[in-house]
Amino acid sequence: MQTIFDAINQLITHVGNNAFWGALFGLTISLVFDRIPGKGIKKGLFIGLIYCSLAIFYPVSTYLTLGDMATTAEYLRNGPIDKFVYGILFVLIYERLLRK
Amino acid sequence: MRRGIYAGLIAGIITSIIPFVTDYSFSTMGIFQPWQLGIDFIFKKIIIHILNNAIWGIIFGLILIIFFDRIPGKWIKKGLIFGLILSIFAVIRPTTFWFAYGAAIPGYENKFYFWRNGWIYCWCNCWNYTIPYLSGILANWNLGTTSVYANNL
Repeated sequence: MQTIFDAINQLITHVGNNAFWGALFGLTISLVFDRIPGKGIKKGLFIGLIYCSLAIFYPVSTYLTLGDMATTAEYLRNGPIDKFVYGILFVLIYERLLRK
Repeated sequence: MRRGIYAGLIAGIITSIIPFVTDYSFSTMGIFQPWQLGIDFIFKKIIIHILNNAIWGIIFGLILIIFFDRIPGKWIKKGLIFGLILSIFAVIRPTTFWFAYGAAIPGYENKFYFWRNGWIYCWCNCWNYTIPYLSGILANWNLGTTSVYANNL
C-alpha cells in the first residue's frame, strides 16, 4: 500500500533525477543549440528526438536485441570503450575520407 | 548527410570488434557470464554485435554530422569528446539505473548488492518501474519472448 511518504519519495526521486540529467543534457545541447534545425517547437521536438534516441531507444533496443537484463547490463558496461572508439573512428573517416 | 551515414556505418562495424574482445576477456576472468563455445553462440554474438553497432553507428553518425563543426577539438580530441557525450547519455545513464537495481537482475543478486542502498536507491527508484516496464512490454509484444519483468508487472 502506498503511503504519503512513498509519494514524497517518488516526487523527490523524479525531480532529483530529471534535474540532474536535465542539467547535463542542457549543458551539452547549449554547445550546439544554433546548429539544431528548426525554430520554436520544431527545434524542441528535434532536441527531444536526439535525447530519446540516446537515452531511451538505444538501451531499450539493446535490451530487445540481447533478450535479458543481465546480458544487457554486461553489454552496456562495455559501452564507454565502444563509444570512444566509435567517436575517434567516425571523425577520422569523416574528416579524412569523406568530407571534401 | 550520405557521408555521415557511410562514416557511421563503417565506424560502427569496426567498433563491433570491441564488445567481442571485452566480452570474451571478461568472461574468462569470471566477471561476465561464461561463453558457451559453439557455432550457434558465436554466430549469434556476431549478428548481435555487428548489427547493433552498424544500425546505431548510422544514427549516431547522423546526429554527429549536424554538430560536427561545433564539437571542440580536432581529430582524436574531437572523437573523444563525441565519445564522451555518447557514453554519458547512451551508456552511463542507463547503466547507473541498472547498477542501482542490480539485485533485481537474475544472476546478479550478490554482485551489486552494495549499490542497492542510500541515495542511489532513492534516486533511481523511478527507473525500477520505467525501463523494465517499457522494455518488458515491447519484448513480449514484438518478439514473443518471456520477460521476468513483464511477468511481474
